[in-house]
Amino acid sequence: MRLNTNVLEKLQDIGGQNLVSKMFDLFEQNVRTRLTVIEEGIHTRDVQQTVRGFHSIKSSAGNIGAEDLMELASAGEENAADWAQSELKTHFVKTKNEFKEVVKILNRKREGLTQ
Amino acid sequence: MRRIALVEDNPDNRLLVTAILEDSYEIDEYENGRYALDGIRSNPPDLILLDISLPEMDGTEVLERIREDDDLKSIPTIALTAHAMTGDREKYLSMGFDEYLTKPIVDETVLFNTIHHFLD
Repeated sequence: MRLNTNVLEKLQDIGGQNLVSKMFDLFEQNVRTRLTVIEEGIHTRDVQQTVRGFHSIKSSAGNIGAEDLMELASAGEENAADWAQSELKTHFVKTKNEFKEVVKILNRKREGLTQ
Repeated sequence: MRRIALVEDNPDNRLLVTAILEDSYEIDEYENGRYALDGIRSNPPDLILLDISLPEMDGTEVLERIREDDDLKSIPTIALTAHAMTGDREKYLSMGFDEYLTKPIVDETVLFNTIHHFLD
């Protein structure tokens, strides 16, 4: 799990703790929604829906410096475009697990923000 | 204050770009291409930041509609996208975007400088 602290410092510089906190919240909400969308997309073999879901996670992960999650989502986007079904399912699980790890770190960061 | 239309479906991206620009520009936010076209037609901005991957109507289709409209076609339109593969820049510029910027925004001065180039 890599979280690029330079990115978080940059967010802090731009908008202070308030922006960092809002970015964490929106990241979590968006990625949770997109994971559900991807799962449905894989189930129904909807290429566009699945590609867009991974693409959105890649973008959100980049905003908070979650670099491993960004890389996984990027690879998932490519797998979805090629529709490599078995790899795609594996990628989805890895992405979901990485997201859980990122959320744990963000929760610790949030505690720091409120102290 | 000059006005920028920000067309972007990810709420965190909208929040970040708005936080960067709101002291210098008025920002009109749109979460999809259809809303954006309606809003841009009724209240044309000075510049458009347009995501590529949008629901219902993607950014390239939004750009086509903008370029077909005599009242809107000269508005500088910048692709703001997480599509950052080799050749993407050339691809989007050839489609008619005036400039191409990638997300995540790692250096806000690049965003500012690009906007300044068209507006100042």
